[in-house]
Amino acid sequence: MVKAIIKKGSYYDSVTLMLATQEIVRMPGVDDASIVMATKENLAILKNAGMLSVEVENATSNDLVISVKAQSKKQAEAAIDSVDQVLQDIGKKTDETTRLIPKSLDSALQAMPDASLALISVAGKYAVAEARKALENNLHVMLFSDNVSLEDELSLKRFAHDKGLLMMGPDCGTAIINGIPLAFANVVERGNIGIIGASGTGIQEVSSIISNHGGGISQAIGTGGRDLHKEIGGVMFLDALDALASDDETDVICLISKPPHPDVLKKISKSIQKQQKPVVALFIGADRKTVEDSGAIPASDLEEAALLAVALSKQEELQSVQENLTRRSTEILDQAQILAKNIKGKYLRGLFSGGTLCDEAQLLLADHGLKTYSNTPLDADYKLKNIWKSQKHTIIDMGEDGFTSGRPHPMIDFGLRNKRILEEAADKDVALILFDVVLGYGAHLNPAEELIPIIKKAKKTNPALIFVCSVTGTQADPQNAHRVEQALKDAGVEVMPSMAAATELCLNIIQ
Amino acid sequence: MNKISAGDRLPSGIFNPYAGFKRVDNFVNTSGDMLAISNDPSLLAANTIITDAFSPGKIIHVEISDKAIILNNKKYLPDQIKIFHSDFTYPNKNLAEIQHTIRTFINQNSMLFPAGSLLFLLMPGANSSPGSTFDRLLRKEFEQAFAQFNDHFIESIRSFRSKGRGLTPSGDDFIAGVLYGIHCLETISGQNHRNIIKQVYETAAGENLFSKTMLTMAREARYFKRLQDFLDTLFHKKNAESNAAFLQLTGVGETSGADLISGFFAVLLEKPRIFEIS
Repeated sequence: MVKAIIKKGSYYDSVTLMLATQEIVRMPGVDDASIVMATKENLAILKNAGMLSVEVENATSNDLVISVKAQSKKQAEAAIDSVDQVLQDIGKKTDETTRLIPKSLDSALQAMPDASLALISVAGKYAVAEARKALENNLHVMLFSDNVSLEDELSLKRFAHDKGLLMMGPDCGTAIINGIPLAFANVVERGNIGIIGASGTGIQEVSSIISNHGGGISQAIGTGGRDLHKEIGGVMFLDALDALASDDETDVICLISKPPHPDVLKKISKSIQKQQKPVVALFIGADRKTVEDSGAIPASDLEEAALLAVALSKQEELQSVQENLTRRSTEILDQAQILAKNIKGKYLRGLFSGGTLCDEAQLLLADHGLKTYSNTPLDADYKLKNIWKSQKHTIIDMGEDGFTSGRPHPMIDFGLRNKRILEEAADKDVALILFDVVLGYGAHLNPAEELIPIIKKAKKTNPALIFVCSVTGTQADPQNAHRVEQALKDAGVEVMPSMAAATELCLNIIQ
Repeated sequence: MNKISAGDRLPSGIFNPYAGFKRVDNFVNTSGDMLAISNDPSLLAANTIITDAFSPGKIIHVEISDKAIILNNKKYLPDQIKIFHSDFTYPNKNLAEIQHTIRTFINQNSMLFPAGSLLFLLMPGANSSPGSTFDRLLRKEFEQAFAQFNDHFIESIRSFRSKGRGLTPSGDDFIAGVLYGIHCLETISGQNHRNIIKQVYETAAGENLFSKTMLTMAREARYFKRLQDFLDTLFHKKNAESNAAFLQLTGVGETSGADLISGFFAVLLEKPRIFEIS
């Protein structure tokens, strides 16, 4: 049964029409569907496909024609009736199980009056108003949107603070609240460790390692990357600390961020010193003494922060963490010596999708005297002249604006990074490629399938090239970390348990 | 008063709203000339106006003469209008050099072409995953059309026209690229191909106003900014920089830019027989 209709004055780009078609084909009883501009030529193709009916014979080339082939007239009509909604929803739809897609915060609240949190992802210029509306409705807010001014961020956070609500973000990509992963987050065990992070991938790496080592997460609260800037004053970091301090399910608190502004650090130190619960802190790039002075237990990298938190959560000796890491370092050295035997090139190239992982790798390398060029360098003298071309040792954050403008994030779309891998492989001076694979909700569902053909191709071009990576995620993630790791290992990649370990391996090979 | 930017081939007259999108509204005058208004400078073209005052659906009255542009109640005089020049100068290279540049670009960047684009015609096996019966038949039609490209050029164009999804069907995007490619051929060879350009345009232009406007701009060798930027980096700068310009051209969620580039590349790589004998 074929049913077709004409829609006048409706214009959509080709991908919207393709996605809408796919959506319609998934409807009950629908065998085939097409949504195309009704040019004479397209109508002829529809006719050949057996998808043309008399209803659209008078369509003109400025009309849209929707044609559905279904097992019954009723099913065809139901599919046709849903097209408007489907076209409107393209881009907004989150997952197939969502039946109700509210059009506004008000309608969402009507449908779910007991909701306590709103996740907001709209264009920056609308974000502030939506976030304020949510706060006015006594909802905690996770604001995924960026392009919000510092003044607006401060105003929203102060408003939330006054109302006793969390204002996570703007530019907050990861949180786990009451066991529910929000936005880019992993499926981790529930437990007694609370995380506060001004870094999305930092939270993902730490929460995954905690979960993989037998610990669990009570809450992971993202604050947005600018919360510890002087202008914001750590409003949400401090509120989150208080929230975890009074949370019965949290016994250990783990803090992750870049170094706070000194004035903000003073406030955080004061708050940490008041805590009854142990606090592990990684202020990436800050010296240990600064952290110790704040009253927290300092960690050198994300992995160590996670392992210290797990040890504390199980009331184990912290010394054992150091001993295990020292033992692991010896193993990494052995592994590096074997790999270094066949090394041909001299440079390391790091291609990252996670910003914090990129920062961490740069810092760990710099701590051992290996300076790296980057689009997000630690030292301004090492800024890449051209982000599309590496210089000597280079570590790139491909999630930065220069790479993501007009394109999905590299955790979702591997195209650009794959291309860069091949370009790096063609450079005979390149010995090592270090990369991250970040799993979890929101990330690409089959990263191994994207990466492995590229790695094989790169190895054909440059057989001595060594690939090193870490996989951020858990076995419970939609992608299954174990399966991804095994597939990468089978493709000859050195898969390490953390970015810190992966960086350490690279360092030992290259030096 | 704020300045606005406007293309160097704005049609004149009183315009009525025709279609609205997130970042651009289209208007048409009584002669059927189309005009676009946006606030995104990367969308500059011969027939667009860029103004910070743009908000989707908010501009309802547009009047253009050689003396002023009126948007709703605001009048912009010539000294308040920054003109966008839509011409493009090709490098002083011969066809073999141009072809080498294009082949290198395709080899290094095929994975940047969006899935479903017409690149597969130039590079069998490139991104293309036909899903529905319509898509499978469409792909076959394009393959058959391209099979005639060398020996029966105008017939081939006829077989591409108006086919495919989207506002401007993929086949029309491809033909627009072909027209720009012919302009490139003319420039580097010094030969006059106006007659072929005329035939291609007359064969391709149908009633779809979006396609017709795009093809008219291509016939007149009026380059939109994203295309200018891409060609500029492709021919004048290093490959790495072409990536960004290409991604800008193709944008997110559309094959239109990639289809246009496929047509542009096709005519320069294949140089159909018609150009030997004209």
